[in-house]
Amino acid sequence: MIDFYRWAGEPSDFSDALAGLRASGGYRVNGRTFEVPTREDYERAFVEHGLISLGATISEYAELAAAAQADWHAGGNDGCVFAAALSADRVNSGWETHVLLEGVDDAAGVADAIDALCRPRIAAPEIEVVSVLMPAVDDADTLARLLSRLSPLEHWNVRERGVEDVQGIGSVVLLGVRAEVELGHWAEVLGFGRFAGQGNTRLAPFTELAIRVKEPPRPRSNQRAYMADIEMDLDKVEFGRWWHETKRGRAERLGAEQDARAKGRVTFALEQGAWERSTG
Amino acid sequence: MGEEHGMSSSTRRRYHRSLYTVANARTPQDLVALLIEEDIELLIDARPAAPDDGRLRSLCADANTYYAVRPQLARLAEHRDAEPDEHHAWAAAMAMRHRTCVLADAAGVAEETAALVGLRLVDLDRSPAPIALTMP
Repeated sequence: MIDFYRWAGEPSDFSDALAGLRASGGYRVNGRTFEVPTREDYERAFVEHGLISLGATISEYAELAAAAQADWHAGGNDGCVFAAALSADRVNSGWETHVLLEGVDDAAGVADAIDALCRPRIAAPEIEVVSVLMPAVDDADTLARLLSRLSPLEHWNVRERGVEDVQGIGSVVLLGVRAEVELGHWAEVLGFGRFAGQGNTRLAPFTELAIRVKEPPRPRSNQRAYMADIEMDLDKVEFGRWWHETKRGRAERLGAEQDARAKGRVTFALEQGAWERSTG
Repeated sequence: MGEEHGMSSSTRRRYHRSLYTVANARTPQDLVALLIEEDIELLIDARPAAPDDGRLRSLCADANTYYAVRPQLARLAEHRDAEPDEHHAWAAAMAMRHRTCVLADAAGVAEETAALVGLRLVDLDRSPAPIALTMP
């Protein structure tokens, strides 16, 4: 039996502890520096606030891992203004987090469990996004193994969407994961985590599959469902402003070099060797 | 046609409060024209037999309207002692998210679905006026 912890909180539930968060991570793109909190930064903040026992790690606390990841999104680190607003108000936004409480020794079992977790959430009208957080998954081989086990499942599709040669890493395969939702549509799945090939906007503290579990309001000829379909309480002017801000922010954080690795259709960018080992 | 959206406790998500129904008494073209007029997003075909489903599917696609076939919804109208099942729950959930119309051969097919989540049932055949304003 593979267990998940369902977190139904808000990052603001931990605002006292997170007020002491100091970002030690970051990157520099086109002369601009972005400071980004790391997993260790969140861990330190929670330890200092007495929420984590000395000697323990944040990964052992499902609720704190979920809150840290939600705060990372809410802080705009994924480059999307819409996601930041949604993550800051997750209950109202219908964004659920389920934390995998173990590793991925049994990749096929975890893949089945993720599928079983998502099916009823697709039917539930109040849920917009299901995030599966995997604090114990940090290496590309383990993630690749899991994705290769999701691939043959009826309601999932994992496809190679290209290979890039990335300086200092080598060949990186761009993997697109889609999940079938209602009315014949397939939702794009966004992937986050600390993997070398990932674009800057995907380098979250923990490995995460963020699954848009609803079809668009009207049928789309390409049968795709996007995160951008989520209804927001914005007028057209405000929506346009957020859209342009997201486009600009994303370009600033990624630069031209990383753009393809962080597009919506790309879930993870992983070392090609890891993917080949998992599928070979 | 009354209210279309109701604010829930959510600050963003809005759920539809009405489920629409229409009898099987029109040509596919006339039916889809009505759906367009009523801004329907999803047509659920609940007829036990639907020989024109291919035509309806095609017309709905052209009208940017979802089309789903669920003959199982007619079961309750035929067996009044039966309980609503997963098909009714599915249709009710869909109707909360999409402006939905149920196409049925018999009266009463959409009632159980609407009742499941407290939707107001609106019969488009009896509807006194379409949404669109027309000049005299």
